Amino acid sequence: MLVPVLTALTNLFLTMRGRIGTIHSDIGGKFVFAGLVWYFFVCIQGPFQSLPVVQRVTHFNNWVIAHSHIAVLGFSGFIALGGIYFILPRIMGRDLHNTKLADLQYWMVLIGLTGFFVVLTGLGLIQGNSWLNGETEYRLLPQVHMYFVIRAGLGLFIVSGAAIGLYNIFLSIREPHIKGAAK
Amino acid sequence: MNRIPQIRMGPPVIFFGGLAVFAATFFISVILPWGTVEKQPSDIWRPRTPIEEQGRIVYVRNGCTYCHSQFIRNIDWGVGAVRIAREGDYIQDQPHLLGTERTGPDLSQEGGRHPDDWHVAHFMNPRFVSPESIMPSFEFLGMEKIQALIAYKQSLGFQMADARVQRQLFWKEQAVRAFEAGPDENVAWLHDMVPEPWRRLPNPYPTTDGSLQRGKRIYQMFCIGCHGPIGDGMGPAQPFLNPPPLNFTLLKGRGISGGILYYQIMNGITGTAMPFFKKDLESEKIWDVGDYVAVFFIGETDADTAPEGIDAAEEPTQPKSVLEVLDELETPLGKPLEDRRYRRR
Repeated sequence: MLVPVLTALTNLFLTMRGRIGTIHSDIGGKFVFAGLVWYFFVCIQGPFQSLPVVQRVTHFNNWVIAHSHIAVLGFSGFIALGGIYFILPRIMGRDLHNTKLADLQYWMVLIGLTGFFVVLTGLGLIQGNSWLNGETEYRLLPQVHMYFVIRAGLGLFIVSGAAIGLYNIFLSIREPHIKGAAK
Repeated sequence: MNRIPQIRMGPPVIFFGGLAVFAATFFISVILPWGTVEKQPSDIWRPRTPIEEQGRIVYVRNGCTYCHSQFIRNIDWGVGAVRIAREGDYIQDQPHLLGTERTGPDLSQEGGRHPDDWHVAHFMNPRFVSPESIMPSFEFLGMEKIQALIAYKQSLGFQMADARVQRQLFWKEQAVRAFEAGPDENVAWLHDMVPEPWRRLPNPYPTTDGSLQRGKRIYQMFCIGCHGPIGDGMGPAQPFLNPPPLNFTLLKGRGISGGILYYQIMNGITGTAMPFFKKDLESEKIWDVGDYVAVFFIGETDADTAPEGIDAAEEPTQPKSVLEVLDELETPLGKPLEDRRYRRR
């Protein structure tokens, strides 16, 4: 798995070399670039996670939840959002309702997801290692508590970002007047 | 040199090509596993009864499987790790409930670990019996569904669970009889059930401020729901349990010892709602919580009898009596010995 992933990523990153700033000036490109970075992380993490020595710690705990979130929301979700923001102006023949809102969504989802990933990975390591040392799930609950509270906060951040994005896309489609044709 | 053949992408090529890819995937990911899967039941397997099937439906509908796995790996230590899962354990399960995450304990061997009345209290409010639990209350299901769910839980572990359920019923009868005979007989019966060497064994750890604080923390995490904040057995779970939780304040002068407390915390009292805590607590924690109960609720402890053999390096050279320890102790209510409520016992 590492070989095809790194082949594709090397190809993409070398294509982008020197133009990363240009890509980030477009909101769609920005999302897709972040999606590629998540793709890198999730595809490096995945094969190592499948090793039995790593599984022994990560199986059945929040490490896996962190991993699956950067796969679906990080990789697929970011690239899909990038695709939406790229294609929408071209279909509608006019600019987005508000690029600043799309930018706000980008930062909210990015910060939310990064925090989500860090918090759940840390919690997963705590759980996995404690279980290996013979602690029971019940004894860990007081430790798990704070991580779940932070997780809920960051989740709220991501959901708010998604709501802002939905509002923005909805208005971009509904807006009756043409603000100017896209290139 | 061979020429690369050109394929024209007409609808037939797309259709049959797509079908070929789909057929190959279907063969590898569906037909092959289907053909090679083990269909022999394992040595402990038995079919489920109708009420257990109903309970399983309640279990699936309420998403119990999101927090509870039913799969014991060979590296597990915790609750349920009495038998490593085998393929044949799951032959009746459609869908299987292996689970993906353990926020709560694994339930593959849950059957017969607790009597039914413990489960009723637990579903009414998990905090009643497990004070630190983050599981939601399932009172809203109504008693009928809760009974089905309990039947399903008592079947987890199949024939191993049945043997444990029988053991619960056997000892429950005796425990209820002992309780109904009155406090003297009940306490005597409880002590008689502890093996002789344990009955003579004093608590080997000294009573210190630190040990009492640790014991208090353990008491709050595991015991307070049934035995209550003052150790009188009137915690919130009490109305659901038969026999009810033990009132520790009865035990003074009835031959209690650190060893008896340790043994009963470690192994629990099968048949009653008192679970075994040897999976949750290691040795020192059991001694500490036993001593906390002895000092605060029973009013006598053998924790400070001088150690025999080589003196332990960490212990105080002059063991203190429980009255001296209590005298030095500061609690939020002031000094316990000056407090009439502590003195009265």
